[in-house]
Amino acid sequence: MLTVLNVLSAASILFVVALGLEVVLGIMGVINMAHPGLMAVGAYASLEASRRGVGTVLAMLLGALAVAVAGALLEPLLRRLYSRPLDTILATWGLSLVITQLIILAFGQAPVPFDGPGDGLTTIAGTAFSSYRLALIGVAVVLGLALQALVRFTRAGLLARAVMANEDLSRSVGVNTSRVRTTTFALGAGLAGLSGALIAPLAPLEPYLGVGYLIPAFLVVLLAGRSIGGLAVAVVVLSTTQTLVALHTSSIVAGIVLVVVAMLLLRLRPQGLLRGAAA
Amino acid sequence: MTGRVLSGLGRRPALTITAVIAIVVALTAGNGYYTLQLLSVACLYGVLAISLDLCWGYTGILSLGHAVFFGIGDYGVAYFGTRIGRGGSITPDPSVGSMLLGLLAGLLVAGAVAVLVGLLAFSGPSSDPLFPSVVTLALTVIGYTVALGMTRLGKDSGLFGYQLWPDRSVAWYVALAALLLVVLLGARILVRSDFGLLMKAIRDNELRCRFLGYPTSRVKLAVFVGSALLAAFAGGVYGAYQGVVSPPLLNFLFATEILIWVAVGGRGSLYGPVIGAVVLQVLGARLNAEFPFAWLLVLGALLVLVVTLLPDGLYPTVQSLISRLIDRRRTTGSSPDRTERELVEAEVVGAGGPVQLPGTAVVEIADVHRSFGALQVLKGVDLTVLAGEILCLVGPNGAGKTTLLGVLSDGTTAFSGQIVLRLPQQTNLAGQTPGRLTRLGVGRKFQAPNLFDGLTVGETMCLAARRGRLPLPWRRSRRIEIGPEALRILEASGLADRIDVRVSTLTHGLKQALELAAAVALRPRLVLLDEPTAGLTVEERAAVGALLRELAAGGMTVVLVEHDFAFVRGIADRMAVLHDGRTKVVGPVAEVADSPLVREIYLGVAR
Repeated sequence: MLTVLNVLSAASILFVVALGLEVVLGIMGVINMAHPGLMAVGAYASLEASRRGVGTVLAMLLGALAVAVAGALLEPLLRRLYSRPLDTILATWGLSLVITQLIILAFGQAPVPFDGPGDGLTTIAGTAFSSYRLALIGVAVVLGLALQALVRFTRAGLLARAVMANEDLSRSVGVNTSRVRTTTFALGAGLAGLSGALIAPLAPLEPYLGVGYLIPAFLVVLLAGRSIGGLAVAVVVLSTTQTLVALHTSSIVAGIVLVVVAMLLLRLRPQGLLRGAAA
Repeated sequence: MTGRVLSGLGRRPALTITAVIAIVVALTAGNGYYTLQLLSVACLYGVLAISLDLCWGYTGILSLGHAVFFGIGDYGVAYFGTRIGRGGSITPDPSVGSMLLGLLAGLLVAGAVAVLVGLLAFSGPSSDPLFPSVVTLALTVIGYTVALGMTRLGKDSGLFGYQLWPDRSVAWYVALAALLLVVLLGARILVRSDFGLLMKAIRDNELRCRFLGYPTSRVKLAVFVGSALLAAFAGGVYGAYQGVVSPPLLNFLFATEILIWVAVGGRGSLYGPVIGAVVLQVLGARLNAEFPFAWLLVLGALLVLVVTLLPDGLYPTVQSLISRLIDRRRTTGSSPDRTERELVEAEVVGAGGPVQLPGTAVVEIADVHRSFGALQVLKGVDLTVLAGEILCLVGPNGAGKTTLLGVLSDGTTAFSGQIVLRLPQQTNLAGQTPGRLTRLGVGRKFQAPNLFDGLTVGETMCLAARRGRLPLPWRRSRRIEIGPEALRILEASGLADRIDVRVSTLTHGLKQALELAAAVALRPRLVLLDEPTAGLTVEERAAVGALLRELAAGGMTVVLVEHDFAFVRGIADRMAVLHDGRTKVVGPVAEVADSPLVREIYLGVAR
């Protein structure tokens, strides 16, 4: 039971972190390497808010909001790069370096504790497990469903899907594609900030907190193939692999196995896990 | 031979190298042991920057993993330069022999890793240019984790103290500067060779290279592995000189720094990345000591600014500014690196084998279907193409003409049905790659001009004329030997006088002519032309028509898609009407063009 909970917890954390990347890559075709930097901003912004007496949950939401605003401001900077996908990788990574260094200058490099909304344990089927991690699993499910609903059932989602399918055509029928892009990037950034704030209580806060998640998150996003359901499947597959291998060998081997498995899956299913190879 | 290699160095390397040396000397001001050491390391970083530039700047493979290859080289020397002493502690024990052994081991490991990574990144069905970046990014994670985990490699504290001749810093500096110079000159010969042309062509338009018959995946693999070996070599020498290695050397942050040297200096320019590496390394070491964290901030901001505003980097920008100041007469369209190539008419043999008898079948297409998702485009095409004929495919938009040509020029497309080629040996088309088909004698001209924007007319023809035979990495051909037909297209269109002009600056009509010339220069037995006259003037059309007739008379089979009925009537032997994914009528032009069916479905006349 503990193993199952561990897998679910790891999967939910990875899912939350990867959601922002998925939104930006899926709709804009941009690999956003600034993600770890934006996560750190979200975490430190909610730390700052909670230091000023704001309740933890509200502080986390404020952190996410701050990053979404920052994302909306940053997006025009990247606009001239959309025709050069490889250069977007470089520019967004440069952005991440800048953001991280600014955080270090402002807050220092030393880890800071950040108290979550509660550090109690909950017992499920005879196994005691961190309540906060359990809550995170719920948050991941809710976020995934909410985003899916947003894309499927709202006008904003319709516009986003139209831009995703054919940007030129969308523009020619009157969709303000640059506004869709700005909104999408802001949403992706906000999700990055939220994930940073959500994982902040799990370990002492440090400026590089997001970097370790970048590669696994990338891999699951590529495996997901532009669908949130695919993302959930990819996250569960990879988290299960990693947790099980780590249990039987070491976390180092698990990290390597994770990357190799993901690479092989990608090689076999370049369009994503849920899609057929021929489609 | 030596003369040719030396002439390959080109016209003005001396000037640039002098400038590089001047910068280096200027930076040495306030000479001291520390500065000397800084510059020695900078020389090795210069070599590392060249290795990435060959891979990324010239071939378009964005590798985020070059730090790993550098690190493997260093770890190899570290491994053999240390030994396990009493109680399991690792003590340095450097010697020249162990260094060489370590260097060799590092090269072997780096080569093997690069082959594995390259196979994964380039040979897959996905030609996504992002994929190699993701694979190499993953490589940095694996490399870092492995180095952290291995006791014999010193885990997180790494290995140290195995440097060779630590007290001969001046000799080291001279040797390392010489190494940088040799690598720079070698790389210059490579990028100016015909192989270098191919690298740039793959960067600009890999798909087109495949249709010219080049095995691009293998070329990319070769460039990547060679580049990784160069990086590992630099890392090994770095180990012998510095005698320090630790996991962060393999980390993504260092990989980013290498990228920044190349991006800021100017990818695809060799000197730019070297200058970038030397200047940023020396500057960085000084600033980092005084303002820690601020330097990384500067680097990150520099990366963002250069990539968004000056994607070519500083060196090419400054260079073009200077040359514009010096020589105002130079036309902006001409390549700064003048080709010194001339067009030569040559007797070029076709793809091999005797010419088929006119009237025998060259292509037999039976019941071919192809669909894109739910959309069925070809719903049962039956067609036989005869040797030496000009067959014109007509049909309304969406009838499947281009799709059919696409299937014919790439047997790996997903289609059902049977297509047999007799060129003249019988080949089943299914599964044949574009490169293989080109070598068998199938040439293709795309509907929209689809060429190499960074290359000149002459360079494009040089690649086309080789017909997929891989060029040697040091040879720079002076003469472009093309067949009389292709030469005539170039002369009639005026392209022959513009061989030093960049393709990106040509007009639409000239691009079309160049496309046609490139397709014909392959000397195919079967040439597939998608709207060869689109965007051409009436005179140009007539010239193209006469040329096609002549090619057919010489035994070449031509299949073309064309909307201009007058043009088709003038040149084609037979006509095939495609409608709604099926072949409706096939027959002599005069009969088919006037048939009621064609009037109805193609010209839109009511029955």
